[in-house]
Amino acid sequence: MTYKIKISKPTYNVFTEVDPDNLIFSSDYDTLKYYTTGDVNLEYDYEDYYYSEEFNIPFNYTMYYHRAEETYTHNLGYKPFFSVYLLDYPEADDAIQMPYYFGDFLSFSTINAYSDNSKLYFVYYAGIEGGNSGSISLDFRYRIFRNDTGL
Amino acid sequence: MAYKIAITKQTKNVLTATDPNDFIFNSSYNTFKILAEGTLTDQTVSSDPTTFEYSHNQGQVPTFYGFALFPDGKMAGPLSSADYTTQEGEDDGYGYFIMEADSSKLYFEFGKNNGSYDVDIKWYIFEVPI
Repeated sequence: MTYKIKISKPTYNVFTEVDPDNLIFSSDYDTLKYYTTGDVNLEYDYEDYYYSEEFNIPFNYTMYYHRAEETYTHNLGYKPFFSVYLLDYPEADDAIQMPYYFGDFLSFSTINAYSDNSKLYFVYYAGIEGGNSGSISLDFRYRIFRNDTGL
Repeated sequence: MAYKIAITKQTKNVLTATDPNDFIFNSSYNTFKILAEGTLTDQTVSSDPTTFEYSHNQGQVPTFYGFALFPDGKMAGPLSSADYTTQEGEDDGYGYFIMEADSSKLYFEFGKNNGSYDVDIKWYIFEVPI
């Protein structure tokens, strides 16, 4: 005999209900299990660009390419299910879920989050016309779950 | 009398706590159940774009998410349009990763910015449907 734990939503019969949408909990289905949450800050000066390129169409301009990275060491020994939010991107002023991408006529920026078996990476990558001065500050909030993706 | 099952976090009183964030489990709140999950391994991105499919057969559009493992060992979630993981000089990485769903299938679309590359994909289907 197989045993299970089930809790149905109000008005649904726990003994006969089979639709998981009508169950609050069933031991037949895994759930996301929290591991840890926290904040990471990434500070970057645009004068530290790693590459530049001259263009003359539609007019003369210089593209500056930037890449900055911060990490959090989770040390789980596997690649976990995770989510990351950017708390205050300057042009959005809202919390948005990663990854994030912005582009216009001459510039782009991407903000991504990756994981390997030991770390969570927060990466800012941008190409900005004339962008070799000033700075940017990004605040991230991550949530890591114990669920192993198996990748 | 209504009954419930509740488990609080350490230092919280299960008989008096009311903030849902103080509970590990509380039968008053639905749980985000994983209905199904799976892996597609060694998928080759050989054209721009390349799309892989999985038939989930839920009969409705599910809540879904996924991750892709790229050749440099980094695993990332889906993005509308971007270059990934390793960028150096003019190298613009592998390509983008988009995940979509309809009532019968999950779709995993990859861009190819440079040469062909292999990915492993992990997908999840959650309750409640979209």
